[in-house]
Amino acid sequence: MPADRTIPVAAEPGDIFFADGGRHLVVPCRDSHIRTFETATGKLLQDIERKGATVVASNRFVDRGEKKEVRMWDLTAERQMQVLYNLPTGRTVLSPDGKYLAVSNTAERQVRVVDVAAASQKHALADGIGGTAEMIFSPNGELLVSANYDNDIRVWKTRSGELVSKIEDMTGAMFAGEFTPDGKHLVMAGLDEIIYIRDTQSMRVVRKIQGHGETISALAISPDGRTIVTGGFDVRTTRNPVKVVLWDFSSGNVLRKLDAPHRVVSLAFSPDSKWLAMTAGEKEIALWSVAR
Amino acid sequence: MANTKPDRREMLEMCISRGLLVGGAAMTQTQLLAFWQKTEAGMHQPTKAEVLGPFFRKGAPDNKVLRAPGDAGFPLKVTGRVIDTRGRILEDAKVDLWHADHEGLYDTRGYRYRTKLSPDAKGLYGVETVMPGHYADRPAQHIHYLISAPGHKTLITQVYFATDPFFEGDPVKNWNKRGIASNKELILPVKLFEGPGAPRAEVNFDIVLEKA
Repeated sequence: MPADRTIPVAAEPGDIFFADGGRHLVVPCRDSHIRTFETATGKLLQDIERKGATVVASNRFVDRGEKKEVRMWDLTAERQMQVLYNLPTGRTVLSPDGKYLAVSNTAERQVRVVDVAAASQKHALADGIGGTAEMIFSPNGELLVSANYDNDIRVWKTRSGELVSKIEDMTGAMFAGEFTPDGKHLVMAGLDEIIYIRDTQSMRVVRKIQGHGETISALAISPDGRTIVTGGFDVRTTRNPVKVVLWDFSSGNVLRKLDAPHRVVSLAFSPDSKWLAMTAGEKEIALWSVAR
Repeated sequence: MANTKPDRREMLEMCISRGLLVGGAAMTQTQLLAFWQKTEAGMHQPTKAEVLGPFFRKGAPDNKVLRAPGDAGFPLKVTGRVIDTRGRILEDAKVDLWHADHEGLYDTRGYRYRTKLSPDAKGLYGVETVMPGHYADRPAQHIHYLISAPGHKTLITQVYFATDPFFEGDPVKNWNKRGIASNKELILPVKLFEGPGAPRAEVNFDIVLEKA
Protein backbone atom coordinates (compact mmCIF):
# COMPACT_ATOMS: atom_id res chain seq x y z
CA MET A 1 0.00 0.00 0.00
CA PRO A 2 1.50 3.37 -0.98
CA ALA A 3 1.74 6.18 1.55
CA ASP A 4 -1.37 8.10 2.55
CA ARG A 5 0.65 11.29 2.36
CA THR A 6 4.15 12.30 1.42
CA ILE A 7 6.15 15.36 2.37
CA PRO A 8 8.77 16.31 -0.22
CA VAL A 9 12.27 16.92 1.18
CA ALA A 10 15.05 18.70 -0.71
CA ALA A 11 17.55 15.90 0.00
CA GLU A 12 17.24 12.27 1.06
CA PRO A 13 16.21 12.17 4.75
CA GLY A 14 17.70 9.81 7.35
CA ASP A 15 16.44 8.95 10.87
CA ILE A 16 13.05 10.50 11.48
CA PHE A 17 11.67 11.96 14.74
CA PHE A 18 8.23 13.23 15.73
CA ALA A 19 8.65 16.41 17.79
CA ASP A 20 6.53 18.85 19.73
CA GLY A 21 3.85 16.31 20.62
CA GLY A 22 3.69 15.03 17.05
CA ARG A 23 3.05 18.41 15.46
CA HIS A 24 6.49 18.44 13.85
CA LEU A 25 8.72 16.03 12.00
CA VAL A 26 12.51 16.36 12.23
CA VAL A 27 14.87 14.76 9.72
CA PRO A 28 18.61 15.01 9.14
CA CYS A 29 19.22 14.98 5.39
CA ARG A 30 21.93 13.79 3.04
CA ASP A 31 22.86 17.38 2.15
CA SER A 32 23.90 18.02 5.81
CA HIS A 33 20.75 20.00 6.56
CA ILE A 34 18.41 19.27 9.45
CA ARG A 35 14.84 20.07 8.43
CA THR A 36 11.71 20.40 10.52
CA PHE A 37 8.26 20.11 8.93
CA GLU A 38 4.75 20.71 10.17
CA THR A 39 3.23 17.23 10.23
CA ALA A 40 -0.29 18.28 9.25
CA THR A 41 0.63 20.49 6.30
CA GLY A 42 4.14 19.43 5.30
CA LYS A 43 5.24 23.06 5.62
CA LEU A 44 8.99 23.53 6.13
CA LEU A 45 9.43 25.24 9.50
CA GLN A 46 13.18 25.14 10.08
CA ASP A 47 16.17 24.37 7.88
CA ILE A 48 19.68 24.52 9.32
CA GLU A 49 22.94 23.36 7.79
CA ARG A 50 25.24 21.35 10.08
CA LYS A 51 27.96 19.21 8.52
CA GLY A 52 28.47 15.86 10.23
CA ALA A 53 25.57 16.37 12.62
CA THR A 54 23.62 13.50 14.16
CA VAL A 55 20.09 14.08 15.42
CA VAL A 56 19.94 12.16 18.71
CA ALA A 57 16.48 13.21 19.90
CA SER A 58 13.56 15.22 18.57
CA ASN A 59 15.12 18.44 19.89
CA ARG A 60 18.80 17.52 20.21
CA PHE A 61 21.63 17.10 17.77
CA VAL A 62 25.38 16.71 18.11
CA ASP A 63 28.17 17.83 15.81
CA ARG A 64 31.94 18.36 15.98
CA GLY A 65 33.80 21.57 16.67
CA GLU A 66 37.19 22.70 15.38
CA LYS A 67 39.04 20.65 18.00
CA LYS A 68 36.92 17.58 17.23
CA GLU A 69 34.97 18.17 20.43
CA VAL A 70 31.39 16.94 20.47
CA ARG A 71 28.90 19.77 20.79
CA MET A 72 25.32 19.14 21.82
CA TRP A 73 22.69 21.54 20.56
CA ASP A 74 19.10 22.42 21.27
CA LEU A 75 17.64 22.15 17.78
CA THR A 76 14.66 24.47 18.09
CA ALA A 77 16.65 27.28 19.70
CA GLU A 78 19.84 26.48 17.72
CA ARG A 79 21.63 26.92 21.02
CA GLN A 80 24.78 25.06 22.07
CA MET A 81 24.13 23.24 25.35
CA GLN A 82 27.18 21.17 26.16
CA VAL A 83 30.68 20.38 24.94
CA LEU A 84 32.20 16.92 25.34
CA TYR A 85 35.88 16.19 24.71
CA ASN A 86 37.92 13.13 23.80
CA LEU A 87 35.19 11.16 22.13
CA PRO A 88 35.79 9.13 19.00
CA THR A 89 33.51 9.30 16.00
CA GLY A 90 30.90 6.61 15.65
CA ARG A 91 27.29 5.71 16.19
CA THR A 92 25.90 8.11 18.79
CA VAL A 93 22.72 7.77 20.84
CA LEU A 94 21.20 9.79 23.68
CA SER A 95 19.28 8.28 26.58
CA PRO A 96 15.58 9.26 26.61
CA ASP A 97 16.11 11.39 29.74
CA GLY A 98 19.01 13.17 28.03
CA LYS A 99 21.45 12.26 30.81
CA TYR A 100 23.75 9.90 28.96
CA LEU A 101 25.34 9.90 25.54
CA ALA A 102 26.76 6.66 24.17
CA VAL A 103 29.30 6.59 21.35
CA SER A 104 30.41 3.38 19.67
CA ASN A 105 33.62 3.23 17.65
CA THR A 106 34.40 0.14 15.56
CA ALA A 107 38.19 0.48 15.70
CA GLU A 108 38.18 0.83 19.49
CA ARG A 109 35.77 -2.09 19.87
CA GLN A 110 34.14 -0.27 22.75
CA VAL A 111 31.23 1.93 23.68
CA ARG A 112 31.92 5.13 25.59
CA VAL A 113 29.22 6.36 27.93
CA VAL A 114 29.26 10.02 28.85
CA ASP A 115 27.42 11.84 31.63
CA VAL A 116 26.12 14.79 29.62
CA ALA A 117 25.53 17.24 32.49
CA ALA A 118 28.97 16.59 34.02
CA ALA A 119 30.59 16.47 30.55
CA SER A 120 32.65 13.51 31.69
CA GLN A 121 33.12 9.98 30.51
CA LYS A 122 31.61 7.43 32.85
CA HIS A 123 32.54 4.17 31.15
CA ALA A 124 34.46 2.65 28.27
CA LEU A 125 32.65 -0.63 27.72
CA ALA A 126 34.24 -3.50 25.80
CA ASP A 127 32.07 -4.24 22.78
CA GLY A 128 32.25 -6.84 20.03
CA ILE A 129 34.73 -7.08 17.19
CA GLY A 130 32.52 -6.19 14.26
CA GLY A 131 31.17 -2.73 15.01
CA THR A 132 27.80 -1.69 16.37
CA ALA A 133 24.81 -2.42 14.18
CA GLU A 134 22.28 -0.97 16.60
CA MET A 135 22.52 0.77 19.97
CA ILE A 136 19.55 1.70 22.17
CA PHE A 137 18.75 2.87 25.68
CA SER A 138 15.79 1.55 27.66
CA PRO A 139 12.92 4.05 28.18
CA ASN A 140 14.12 4.89 31.72
CA GLY A 141 17.73 5.08 30.55
CA GLU A 142 18.88 2.37 32.96
CA LEU A 143 19.96 -0.13 30.31
CA LEU A 144 22.13 0.31 27.24
CA VAL A 145 22.05 -2.29 24.47
CA SER A 146 24.61 -2.73 21.71
CA ALA A 147 23.94 -5.23 18.93
CA ASN A 148 27.16 -5.97 17.07
CA TYR A 149 27.78 -7.06 13.48
CA ASP A 150 29.56 -10.08 15.00
CA ASN A 151 26.01 -11.21 15.99
CA ASP A 152 26.45 -10.74 19.75
CA ILE A 153 24.30 -8.39 21.83
CA ARG A 154 25.57 -6.78 25.02
CA VAL A 155 23.39 -5.18 27.69
CA TRP A 156 24.90 -2.90 30.32
CA LYS A 157 23.59 -0.96 33.29
CA THR A 158 24.11 2.60 32.16
CA ARG A 159 24.98 4.04 35.53
CA SER A 160 27.41 1.39 36.75
CA GLY A 161 28.67 0.08 33.43
CA GLU A 162 28.01 -3.47 34.64
CA LEU A 163 27.54 -5.99 31.84
CA VAL A 164 24.22 -7.58 32.73
CA SER A 165 23.85 -9.79 29.69
CA LYS A 166 25.90 -10.98 26.75
CA ILE A 167 23.60 -12.63 24.26
CA GLU A 168 25.58 -15.01 22.07
CA ASP A 169 22.88 -17.24 20.63
CA MET A 170 22.08 -15.07 17.61
CA THR A 171 23.19 -16.13 14.12
CA GLY A 172 22.79 -12.83 12.34
CA ALA A 173 23.25 -9.17 13.19
CA MET A 174 20.33 -7.21 14.63
CA PHE A 175 20.05 -4.00 12.63
CA ALA A 176 17.11 -2.48 14.47
CA GLY A 177 15.58 -2.57 17.90
CA GLU A 178 13.48 -0.82 20.47
CA PHE A 179 12.25 -1.37 23.99
CA THR A 180 8.52 -1.50 24.56
CA PRO A 181 7.30 1.74 26.22
CA ASP A 182 6.85 -0.06 29.57
CA GLY A 183 10.45 -1.30 29.37
CA LYS A 184 9.41 -4.92 29.89
CA HIS A 185 10.47 -6.18 26.47
CA LEU A 186 13.33 -5.63 24.08
CA VAL A 187 12.33 -6.13 20.45
CA MET A 188 15.06 -6.61 17.85
CA ALA A 189 15.28 -7.77 14.24
CA GLY A 190 17.82 -7.90 11.44
CA LEU A 191 19.58 -10.17 9.02
CA ASP A 192 17.59 -13.35 9.59
CA GLU A 193 14.17 -11.66 9.05
CA ILE A 194 12.87 -12.73 12.48
CA ILE A 195 11.54 -10.39 15.19
CA TYR A 196 12.89 -11.44 18.60
CA ILE A 197 10.98 -10.33 21.68
CA ARG A 198 13.02 -10.62 24.86
CA ASP A 199 12.02 -10.28 28.48
CA THR A 200 14.24 -7.52 29.83
CA GLN A 201 14.61 -9.16 33.24
CA SER A 202 16.15 -12.36 31.89
CA MET A 203 16.97 -11.16 28.35
CA ARG A 204 15.63 -14.50 27.14
CA VAL A 205 13.57 -14.70 23.94
CA VAL A 206 9.95 -15.07 24.97
CA ARG A 207 8.48 -14.87 21.47
CA LYS A 208 9.57 -14.82 17.84
CA ILE A 209 7.57 -13.31 15.03
CA GLN A 210 8.31 -14.58 11.54
CA GLY A 211 6.94 -13.67 8.16
CA HIS A 212 8.37 -10.33 7.12
CA GLY A 213 10.22 -12.18 4.37
CA GLU A 214 13.07 -9.71 4.04
CA THR A 215 16.07 -8.72 6.08
CA ILE A 216 14.79 -6.11 8.51
CA SER A 217 16.56 -2.75 8.57
CA ALA A 218 14.18 -0.64 10.68
CA LEU A 219 11.76 -1.24 13.53
CA ALA A 220 9.51 0.84 15.77
CA ILE A 221 6.95 0.21 18.48
CA SER A 222 3.89 2.40 18.87
CA PRO A 223 3.80 4.49 22.06
CA ASP A 224 0.63 2.64 23.15
CA GLY A 225 2.66 -0.59 22.94
CA ARG A 226 0.11 -2.34 20.71
CA THR A 227 1.90 -2.30 17.35
CA ILE A 228 5.32 -3.24 16.02
CA VAL A 229 6.36 -2.06 12.58
CA THR A 230 9.25 -3.51 10.59
CA GLY A 231 10.87 -2.14 7.43
CA GLY A 232 12.70 -4.31 4.94
CA PHE A 233 15.97 -4.42 3.09
CA ASP A 234 16.59 -6.40 -0.08
CA VAL A 235 20.12 -7.74 0.36
CA ARG A 236 20.73 -7.59 -3.42
CA THR A 237 20.62 -3.81 -3.31
CA THR A 238 19.32 -1.08 -1.07
CA ARG A 239 17.57 0.38 -4.13
CA ASN A 240 15.01 -2.41 -4.61
CA PRO A 241 11.44 -1.90 -3.34
CA VAL A 242 10.61 -3.59 -0.04
CA LYS A 243 7.79 -4.07 2.43
CA VAL A 244 6.78 -2.39 5.66
CA VAL A 245 4.77 -4.66 7.93
CA LEU A 246 2.59 -3.67 10.89
CA TRP A 247 2.21 -6.41 13.51
CA ASP A 248 -0.07 -6.79 16.49
CA PHE A 249 2.30 -6.94 19.47
CA SER A 250 0.20 -9.39 21.50
CA SER A 251 -0.69 -11.93 18.83
CA GLY A 252 2.11 -11.43 16.33
CA ASN A 253 -0.49 -11.24 13.55
CA VAL A 254 0.02 -9.05 10.51
CA LEU A 255 -2.17 -5.95 10.63
CA ARG A 256 -1.15 -4.32 7.35
CA LYS A 257 1.51 -4.48 4.68
CA LEU A 258 2.77 -1.24 3.18
CA ASP A 259 5.16 -0.45 0.33
CA ALA A 260 8.55 1.22 0.56
CA PRO A 261 10.46 2.34 -2.52
CA HIS A 262 13.89 1.21 -1.24
CA ARG A 263 15.60 -0.06 1.92
CA VAL A 264 13.72 1.37 4.88
CA VAL A 265 16.02 3.81 6.67
CA SER A 266 13.80 4.85 9.55
CA LEU A 267 10.31 4.36 11.01
CA ALA A 268 8.58 6.37 13.75
CA PHE A 269 5.12 6.46 15.29
CA SER A 270 3.48 9.72 16.32
CA PRO A 271 3.07 10.10 20.12
CA ASP A 272 -0.67 9.27 19.80
CA SER A 273 0.22 6.08 17.84
CA LYS A 274 -2.07 7.22 14.99
CA TRP A 275 0.53 8.05 12.35
CA LEU A 276 3.51 6.18 11.00
CA ALA A 277 6.35 8.11 9.35
CA MET A 278 9.00 6.51 7.15
CA THR A 279 12.13 7.46 5.26
CA ALA A 280 13.33 5.03 2.60
CA GLY A 281 15.88 6.45 0.20
CA GLU A 282 13.61 8.89 -1.62
CA LYS A 283 13.49 12.66 -1.24
CA GLU A 284 10.34 12.47 0.84
CA ILE A 285 8.80 11.50 4.14
CA ALA A 286 6.02 8.93 3.78
CA LEU A 287 3.09 9.04 6.22
CA TRP A 288 0.35 6.48 6.86
CA SER A 289 -2.68 6.74 9.08
CA VAL A 290 -2.38 3.66 11.30
CA ALA A 291 -4.98 4.36 14.00
CA ARG A 292 -6.44 1.18 15.50
CA MET B 1 51.42 8.51 32.67
CA ALA B 2 53.62 8.16 29.60
CA ASN B 3 54.07 4.70 28.14
CA THR B 4 57.62 3.73 29.13
CA LYS B 5 57.42 0.12 27.98
CA PRO B 6 60.54 -0.56 25.87
CA ASP B 7 60.16 -1.94 22.39
CA ARG B 8 61.71 -5.22 21.44
CA ARG B 9 64.95 -3.69 20.16
CA GLU B 10 65.38 -1.61 23.33
CA MET B 11 64.68 -4.68 25.43
CA LEU B 12 67.30 -6.67 23.54
CA GLU B 13 69.89 -3.92 23.94
CA MET B 14 69.12 -3.63 27.66
CA CYS B 15 69.49 -7.38 28.09
CA ILE B 16 72.84 -7.39 26.29
CA SER B 17 74.18 -4.39 28.23
CA ARG B 18 73.16 -5.94 31.56
CA GLY B 19 74.64 -9.29 30.76
CA LEU B 20 71.25 -10.96 30.75
CA LEU B 21 71.71 -12.12 27.22
CA VAL B 22 75.02 -13.26 25.81
CA GLY B 23 75.93 -14.69 22.46
CA GLY B 24 78.00 -17.80 21.95
CA ALA B 25 81.76 -17.55 22.23
CA ALA B 26 82.13 -16.38 18.65
CA MET B 27 79.28 -13.85 18.79
CA THR B 28 79.88 -10.23 19.66
CA GLN B 29 77.15 -7.86 20.71
CA THR B 30 77.24 -6.33 17.24
CA GLN B 31 76.85 -9.74 15.67
CA LEU B 32 73.99 -10.57 18.00
CA LEU B 33 72.20 -7.38 17.05
CA ALA B 34 72.80 -8.11 13.36
CA PHE B 35 71.39 -11.61 13.87
CA TRP B 36 68.34 -10.14 15.55
CA GLN B 37 67.88 -7.62 12.75
CA LYS B 38 68.07 -10.42 10.19
CA THR B 39 65.42 -12.32 12.13
CA GLU B 40 63.26 -9.22 12.23
CA ALA B 41 63.62 -8.85 8.46
CA GLY B 42 62.10 -12.32 8.12
CA MET B 43 59.07 -11.33 10.13
CA HIS B 44 55.70 -11.43 8.46
CA GLN B 45 53.51 -8.39 8.48
CA PRO B 46 50.06 -8.95 9.97
CA THR B 47 47.37 -9.25 7.34
CA LYS B 48 45.49 -6.04 6.73
CA ALA B 49 42.05 -5.71 8.25
CA GLU B 50 38.78 -4.68 6.63
CA VAL B 51 35.26 -4.22 7.95
CA LEU B 52 33.04 -7.14 8.89
CA GLY B 53 30.03 -6.01 6.89
CA PRO B 54 26.39 -6.76 7.70
CA PHE B 55 26.12 -10.31 6.33
CA PHE B 56 28.20 -12.36 8.80
CA ARG B 57 26.38 -15.31 10.37
CA LYS B 58 27.85 -17.06 13.35
CA GLY B 59 27.68 -20.84 13.54
CA ALA B 60 28.66 -21.90 10.02
CA PRO B 61 29.54 -25.61 9.69
CA ASP B 62 33.12 -26.71 8.89
CA ASN B 63 32.57 -27.40 5.22
CA LYS B 64 35.41 -27.62 2.71
CA VAL B 65 33.15 -27.93 -0.32
CA LEU B 66 30.72 -25.06 -0.66
CA ARG B 67 30.04 -25.61 -4.37
CA ALA B 68 27.12 -28.02 -4.70
CA PRO B 69 26.74 -30.14 -7.86
CA GLY B 70 25.04 -28.08 -10.53
CA ASP B 71 25.75 -24.75 -8.83
CA ALA B 72 26.04 -21.91 -11.31
CA GLY B 73 29.21 -19.82 -11.15
CA PHE B 74 32.86 -20.17 -12.05
CA PRO B 75 34.52 -22.87 -9.91
CA LEU B 76 36.98 -21.37 -7.45
CA LYS B 77 39.43 -22.99 -5.07
CA VAL B 78 40.68 -20.87 -2.17
CA THR B 79 43.70 -22.04 -0.22
CA GLY B 80 46.15 -20.56 2.24
CA ARG B 81 47.72 -21.00 5.61
CA VAL B 82 47.35 -19.29 8.94
CA ILE B 83 50.59 -18.24 10.63
CA ASP B 84 51.88 -15.78 13.20
CA THR B 85 54.26 -12.92 12.50
CA ARG B 86 57.25 -15.24 12.97
CA GLY B 87 55.89 -17.66 10.39
CA ARG B 88 54.81 -20.26 12.92
CA ILE B 89 51.77 -22.33 12.04
CA LEU B 90 48.64 -21.60 14.06
CA GLU B 91 47.07 -25.02 14.22
CA ASP B 92 44.26 -23.98 16.53
CA ALA B 93 43.08 -21.17 14.26
CA LYS B 94 39.51 -20.97 13.02
CA VAL B 95 38.73 -19.43 9.65
CA ASP B 96 35.22 -18.13 9.09
CA LEU B 97 34.74 -17.47 5.39
CA TRP B 98 31.60 -16.26 3.60
CA HIS B 99 30.64 -14.71 0.30
CA ALA B 100 27.76 -13.99 -2.04
CA ASP B 101 26.67 -16.50 -4.69
CA HIS B 102 27.52 -15.97 -8.35
CA GLU B 103 24.61 -13.53 -8.67
CA GLY B 104 25.79 -11.42 -5.74
CA LEU B 105 23.24 -12.70 -3.25
CA TYR B 106 24.11 -13.68 0.33
CA ASP B 107 22.27 -16.51 2.02
CA THR B 108 20.70 -14.77 5.02
CA ARG B 109 18.57 -17.76 6.08
CA GLY B 110 21.10 -20.60 5.94
CA TYR B 111 24.81 -21.23 5.47
CA ARG B 112 25.21 -21.49 1.72
CA TYR B 113 28.70 -20.25 0.80
CA ARG B 114 29.55 -19.94 4.46
CA THR B 115 32.01 -22.10 6.38
CA LYS B 116 34.15 -22.16 9.49
CA LEU B 117 37.34 -24.05 8.73
CA SER B 118 39.99 -25.55 10.98
CA PRO B 119 43.41 -25.47 9.28
CA ASP B 120 45.29 -28.79 9.17
CA ALA B 121 48.52 -29.61 11.00
CA LYS B 122 50.49 -27.67 8.40
CA GLY B 123 48.32 -24.63 8.99
CA LEU B 124 46.65 -25.05 5.61
CA TYR B 125 43.03 -24.34 4.88
CA GLY B 126 41.18 -24.81 1.62
CA VAL B 127 37.70 -24.56 0.23
CA GLU B 128 36.01 -25.39 -3.07
CA THR B 129 33.46 -22.75 -3.98
CA VAL B 130 32.39 -20.45 -6.82
CA MET B 131 33.59 -17.01 -7.79
CA PRO B 132 31.36 -14.53 -5.87
CA GLY B 133 29.09 -12.36 -7.98
CA HIS B 134 28.78 -8.62 -8.12
CA TYR B 135 26.05 -6.68 -6.38
CA ALA B 136 25.08 -3.10 -6.81
CA ASP B 137 25.93 -1.79 -3.36
CA ARG B 138 29.45 -3.22 -3.39
CA PRO B 139 30.42 -3.89 -6.96
CA ALA B 140 33.74 -5.75 -6.55
CA GLN B 141 33.79 -9.53 -6.10
CA HIS B 142 34.98 -10.34 -2.61
CA ILE B 143 35.21 -12.98 0.12
CA HIS B 144 34.85 -12.11 3.80
CA TYR B 145 37.10 -13.61 6.48
CA LEU B 146 37.03 -13.70 10.26
CA ILE B 147 40.07 -15.51 11.65
CA SER B 148 40.76 -16.26 15.29
CA ALA B 149 43.46 -18.18 17.15
CA PRO B 150 44.16 -18.47 20.86
CA GLY B 151 46.53 -15.75 22.06
CA HIS B 152 46.16 -13.72 18.87
CA LYS B 153 44.11 -10.76 17.76
CA THR B 154 41.01 -11.77 15.86
CA LEU B 155 41.31 -10.54 12.30
CA ILE B 156 38.44 -9.38 10.14
CA THR B 157 39.27 -8.87 6.49
CA GLN B 158 38.20 -9.36 2.88
CA VAL B 159 39.93 -10.43 -0.31
CA TYR B 160 39.34 -9.33 -3.89
CA PHE B 161 40.29 -10.75 -7.28
CA ALA B 162 42.77 -9.25 -9.72
CA THR B 163 40.74 -10.68 -12.62
CA ASP B 164 37.58 -8.84 -11.54
CA PRO B 165 36.35 -6.60 -14.39
CA PHE B 166 35.76 -3.99 -11.69
CA PHE B 167 39.53 -3.34 -11.69
CA GLU B 168 39.49 -2.82 -15.46
CA GLY B 169 42.40 -5.15 -16.12
CA ASP B 170 44.79 -3.06 -14.03
CA PRO B 171 44.42 -3.81 -10.31
CA VAL B 172 47.74 -2.12 -9.54
CA LYS B 173 46.39 1.16 -10.85
CA ASN B 174 42.74 0.73 -9.92
CA TRP B 175 43.00 -1.11 -6.59
CA ASN B 176 41.33 1.72 -4.67
CA LYS B 177 38.61 2.40 -7.23
CA ARG B 178 35.53 3.82 -5.47
CA GLY B 179 37.20 3.07 -2.15
CA ILE B 180 35.96 -0.52 -2.17
CA ALA B 181 39.24 -2.28 -1.29
CA SER B 182 41.19 -0.69 1.53
CA ASN B 183 44.55 -2.21 0.63
CA LYS B 184 46.10 -3.46 -2.61
CA GLU B 185 47.59 -6.46 -0.79
CA LEU B 186 44.10 -7.81 -0.45
CA ILE B 187 43.59 -8.05 -4.21
CA LEU B 188 44.72 -11.57 -5.00
CA PRO B 189 46.28 -12.85 -8.22
CA VAL B 190 44.08 -15.50 -9.79
CA LYS B 191 45.34 -18.67 -11.49
CA LEU B 192 43.04 -19.79 -14.26
CA PHE B 193 43.08 -23.42 -15.41
CA GLU B 194 41.70 -24.98 -18.54
CA GLY B 195 42.07 -28.57 -19.67
CA PRO B 196 40.17 -31.70 -18.72
CA GLY B 197 36.92 -31.05 -16.93
CA ALA B 198 35.54 -27.62 -16.30
CA PRO B 199 37.77 -24.56 -16.21
CA ARG B 200 38.50 -23.29 -12.73
CA ALA B 201 40.22 -20.53 -10.80
CA GLU B 202 42.49 -20.73 -7.80
CA VAL B 203 43.65 -18.14 -5.33
CA ASN B 204 45.98 -18.37 -2.37
CA PHE B 205 45.53 -16.20 0.69
CA ASP B 206 47.97 -16.60 3.56
CA ILE B 207 46.80 -15.05 6.79
CA VAL B 208 49.17 -13.59 9.37
CA LEU B 209 47.82 -12.94 12.85
CA GLU B 210 49.55 -10.80 15.44
CA LYS B 211 49.72 -11.60 19.12
CA ALA B 212 46.96 -10.32 21.32
